[in-house]
Amino acid sequence: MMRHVAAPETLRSVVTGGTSGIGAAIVERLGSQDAAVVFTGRDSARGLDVEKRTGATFVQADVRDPEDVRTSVQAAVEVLGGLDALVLNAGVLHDAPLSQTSDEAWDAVLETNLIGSYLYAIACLPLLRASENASITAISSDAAVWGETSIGAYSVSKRALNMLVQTLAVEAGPAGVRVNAVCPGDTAPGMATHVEGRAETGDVSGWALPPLARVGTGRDVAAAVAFFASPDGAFCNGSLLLVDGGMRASLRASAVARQAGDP
Amino acid sequence: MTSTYGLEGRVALVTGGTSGIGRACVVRLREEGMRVAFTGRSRERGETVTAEAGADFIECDHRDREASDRAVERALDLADGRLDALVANAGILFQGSIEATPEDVFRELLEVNLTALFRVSRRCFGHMRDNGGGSMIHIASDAGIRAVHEIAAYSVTKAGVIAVSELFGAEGAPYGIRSNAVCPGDIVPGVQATPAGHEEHAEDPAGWVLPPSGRFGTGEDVAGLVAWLASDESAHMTGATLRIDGGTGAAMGVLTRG
Repeated sequence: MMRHVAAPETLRSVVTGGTSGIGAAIVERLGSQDAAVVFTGRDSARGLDVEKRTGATFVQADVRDPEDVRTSVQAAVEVLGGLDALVLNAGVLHDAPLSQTSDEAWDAVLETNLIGSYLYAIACLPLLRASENASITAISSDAAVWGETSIGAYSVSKRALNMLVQTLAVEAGPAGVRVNAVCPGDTAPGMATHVEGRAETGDVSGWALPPLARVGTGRDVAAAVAFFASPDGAFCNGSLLLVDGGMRASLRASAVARQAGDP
Repeated sequence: MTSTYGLEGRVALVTGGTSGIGRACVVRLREEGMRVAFTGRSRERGETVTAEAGADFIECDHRDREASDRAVERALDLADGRLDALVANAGILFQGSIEATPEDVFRELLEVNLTALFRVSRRCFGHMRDNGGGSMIHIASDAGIRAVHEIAAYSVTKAGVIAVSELFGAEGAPYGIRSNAVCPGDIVPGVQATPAGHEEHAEDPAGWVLPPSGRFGTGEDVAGLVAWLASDESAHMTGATLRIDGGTGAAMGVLTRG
């Protein structure tokens, strides 16, 4: 782990779940501008790989473990000397409608996507209050805005996460901490982590496309995060931003574009 | 008394039926001629409601997953395997911001308000699917639609409840299973249960803001909607989220002091 204290003009950032997919894209994007980034993840091989590629600092931590949360925030502060931007990105997916969702899968999804976000938020709020440009940005999902039957527990966890964002926006706003959510649509490479440990194939053929006729990228999501974390987003608080190519804009949005891979 | 909505002889399970909205639902569904089983933590309160309404009390704390499972099986046994309506109402409240909500309390609210409701619904969903359908009614809250930061963790769990209800609605429609979320505004008497080790929620509506209708809601207000949702009168309604709040949710800024 590199140990240096960030220069005062840089955005001191922590990204949870930054070792792959959208999280890695966020680490890369923030690292490409004036930000000092610490990111967490469970897989140290992937973490060290992203560290090497981006120059950000990897701290191994599992958001489901309250002790990991505390120690990783402590480690981040040692590296950064404070905190301006917390990005709650760690999440897991489980492919099942609610009626077919086991207790184990339900618990794993809620522990990671909701409780993990709550734990990082309360661990970081005291640090964020000391910042002049403080923000929390949660990576939620378009499934929070409009649930998807095939990913039931995930949809529930993200709806609850959006509400966590809005309650935090109200309670932390007076201290100047802005709290917002980015709600991506189908993104590739997206959620690398499934509850069962299955990794995504990256094959998007067969996905229904939004009106913009492509799947989203990690960069699309990272750009929205960069906006919320920057002074450009200074008056955004409790905002739930869809980054989904228009998929949740209409009851029939998916009917206007062909499936990915269609000629 | 004849049923308003043709519910005579049908069977309902109400979770958290010993007080507040749940109790009002038990009473109303009994008045409609339904056979009703209800759960609750307090045997004393449960027996009072049983004496009053003639419903079957099942002592159960939904924090305990095995006890919660047993309670649903018991309800199914009591009615010889028939279940037409589930009213998933059991819930607890904690007053405080997210930061003021200790981790164990956050987890407990999630367990009771969201996970237990999901688990009871999942079991009833399977039963209804195998038996030609049914109506699931989830008691959420207007705090699940828009944040109420003074009861932040409650707000978070109730947002999840609405999502659970919508998703079961979408999934259950082909099987004749309907699932709707009811979102009461301020109700007197309202949620009385609190996390373990915390004092009963001291309610003082005197300091609350009245809805535009000029009064707070009652358990009976909610129970009327629940009875209608349990009946065939609402046959084409599923996956819906219904506010019952005297206009509060529609009226940004139109508020009067109680």
